[in-house]
Amino acid sequence: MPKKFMLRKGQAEIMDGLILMLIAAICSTVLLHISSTYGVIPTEIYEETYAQKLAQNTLLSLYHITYLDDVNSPFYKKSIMVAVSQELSSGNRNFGNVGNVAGDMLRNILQTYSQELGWHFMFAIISGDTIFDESIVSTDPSVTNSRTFKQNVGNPSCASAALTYPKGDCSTGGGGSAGNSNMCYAIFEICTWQS
Amino acid sequence: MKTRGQGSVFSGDVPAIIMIVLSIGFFMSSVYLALDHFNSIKANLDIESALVDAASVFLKENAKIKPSDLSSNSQFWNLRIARIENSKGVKIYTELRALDPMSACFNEGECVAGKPPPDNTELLSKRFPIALKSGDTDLEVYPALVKISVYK
Repeated sequence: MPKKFMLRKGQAEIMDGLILMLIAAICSTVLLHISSTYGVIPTEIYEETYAQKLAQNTLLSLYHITYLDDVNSPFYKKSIMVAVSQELSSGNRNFGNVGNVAGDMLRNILQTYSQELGWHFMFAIISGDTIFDESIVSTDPSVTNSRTFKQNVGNPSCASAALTYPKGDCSTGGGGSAGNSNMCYAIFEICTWQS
Repeated sequence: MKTRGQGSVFSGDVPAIIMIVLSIGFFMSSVYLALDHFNSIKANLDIESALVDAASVFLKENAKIKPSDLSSNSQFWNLRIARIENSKGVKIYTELRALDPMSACFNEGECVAGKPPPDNTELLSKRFPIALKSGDTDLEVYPALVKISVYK
């Protein structure tokens, strides 16, 4: 072996040491990377689950909460969704308009939840992928119709449910007739996103 | 032959031994750090999972919960929430607050269940909307918020 390639005593051991250090560094980096990413996905899933539960809980609450503000109102001690149902039955889905009785009830509750929780809420009647603009009740001033909803809200969590109402014009709710009964149905949606 | 002054303690096997010791030490400290991180994340995941479970219970009980259900010796608490506490090894503190002054549980601290978390305890806390039955009939249902705090 030419003299210049011959390792002196200690050089081979140093090479071994360097290789071992390199292996230890690689193993440590991999281990730390695995440990730092552990739990990230479940945490994201739990956050999404929370947003989803927020939407579902709000939707269920709306079914149950009764109107108790005015003893003379025909909706006194009735679910506020009864008021929504009555409006749809009379061919009106302008819940977004201030002064619409059902819309005002929804707005009050959603505003209270929004102020307390720091999340925005939107109620809307939907038909397939279509959101009926006039039915939108939103706590976010930047969301007034389906276009601004898609534009300004990144990743909302939504929950939807069906609501039946006495037959009037079934196209008002966008859902059609509920079987052979004298009822129509509409699909309504509650979406929530962080302020 | 080396003359006096040319020799070094870092000759021969010594550098390799130092590097081997350093490598093993570095690797062992990484293992320790990784395990420590695993354990703390696992504890957090237990807390988050308990929170989601507790929230699911309240979701199912929407409009069925009465103010009296929120006390540590109520059947509701012991059947549903204490079970989560036992299975996840966590403690759950719940506060229910109505958003309407006409309803029970409007005042802070009126409807609570579980042990309040001690100061400076790491806890995870979330609030959910809920419908609260409060009144003589089933027709008086108010908007309310349930706040669930989970800690170890």
